[in-house]
Amino acid sequence: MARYRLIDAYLASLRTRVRWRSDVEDHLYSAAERFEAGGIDGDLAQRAVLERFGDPDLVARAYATAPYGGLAVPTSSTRAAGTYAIASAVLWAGVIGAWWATGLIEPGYEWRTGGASVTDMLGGIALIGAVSFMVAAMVGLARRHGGLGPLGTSGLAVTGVGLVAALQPWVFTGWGALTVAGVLLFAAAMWRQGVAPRLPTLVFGVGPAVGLVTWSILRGAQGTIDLSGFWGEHWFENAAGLAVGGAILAAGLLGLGRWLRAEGLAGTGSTDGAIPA
Amino acid sequence: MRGQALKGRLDLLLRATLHDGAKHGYPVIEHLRERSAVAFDLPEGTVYPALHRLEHGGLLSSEWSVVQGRNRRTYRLTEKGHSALGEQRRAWDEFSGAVASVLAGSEWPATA
Repeated sequence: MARYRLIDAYLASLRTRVRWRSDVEDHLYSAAERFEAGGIDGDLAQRAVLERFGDPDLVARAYATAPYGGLAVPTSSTRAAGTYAIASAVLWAGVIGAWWATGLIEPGYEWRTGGASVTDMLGGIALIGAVSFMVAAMVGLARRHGGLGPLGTSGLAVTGVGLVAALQPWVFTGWGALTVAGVLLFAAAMWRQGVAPRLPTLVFGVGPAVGLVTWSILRGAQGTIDLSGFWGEHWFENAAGLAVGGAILAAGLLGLGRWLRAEGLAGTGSTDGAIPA
Repeated sequence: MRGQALKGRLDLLLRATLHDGAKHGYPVIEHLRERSAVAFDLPEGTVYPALHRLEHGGLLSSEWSVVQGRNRRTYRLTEKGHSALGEQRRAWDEFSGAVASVLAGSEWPATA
């Protein structure tokens, strides 16, 4: 908010130490408006507000040391969650590559009875890794905020079941549907509580669902969606659905991962913590 | 009176400020400041972790709204929070009454 340059500078400084729910911004701007309404000059009002709010280091320490007070406190496990999210994004790209390679090399490939091809095996391993790292990243995100409520817990649980289902990668409608539902629920909880930047949260949340819609449209265009056929009968539609959903999901995970990795640990930030003059 | 004196009492005071209805963070802190005649003048930024802790403990609930283009979180006491507040108020009344009674009762006797 250009009108409040001192408060903006303070928030930028605090942001290097700790992420918080946006009630802090609301507090500072509301307080400044109230001072101004009382006839106090803009800069003077902001200084008074920041003086009362406390030094950024002190506030960051309060978040870091209060049990569960740090609903938005970055920790080393938060940074690890960022790494897991990025690893998951890379592995999702691997799954997409493996599915396309399988389809292109052997278009009529039958997963269950044809024996495992190299690309098929690599795809299965990448899938288990991708979902595992994604679940680990989701756990880290939830822990960073002291939990994300029933919606977030449900999303995590459903995605966890999806991970178990992914141990049989060829049952892609099973793990796929669970991933769509789990990620959507979890991202909805993230969105509702405003715990992460909106864009990667949205991209992450809708990615698998867009993949499902793409797959349904492509399969629907062939007549009825018959789930009893083997993978190779519809390899293009299956690989295309995965490519769209997986790529969008990976982009969201990459965004969240980079954001989590970029956080400074509370209490270990730079020393420029003085209230802006 | 700075934070140290409030230690252990802040949670009770925050819940008391929400007893008469939901508020967002700024009015909660203003209420605490004004009702204490500025005696409880602690760094305001340190109050939010306490609000979050109370919410995590199920004593408060909160919801987001958008006011003047800004995200605003409004806190309210839960059923559990109301109940805990009542109990702690009674305990505090007993304690402060006993202390006041002792302090008012006598000066230290001057012995010969």
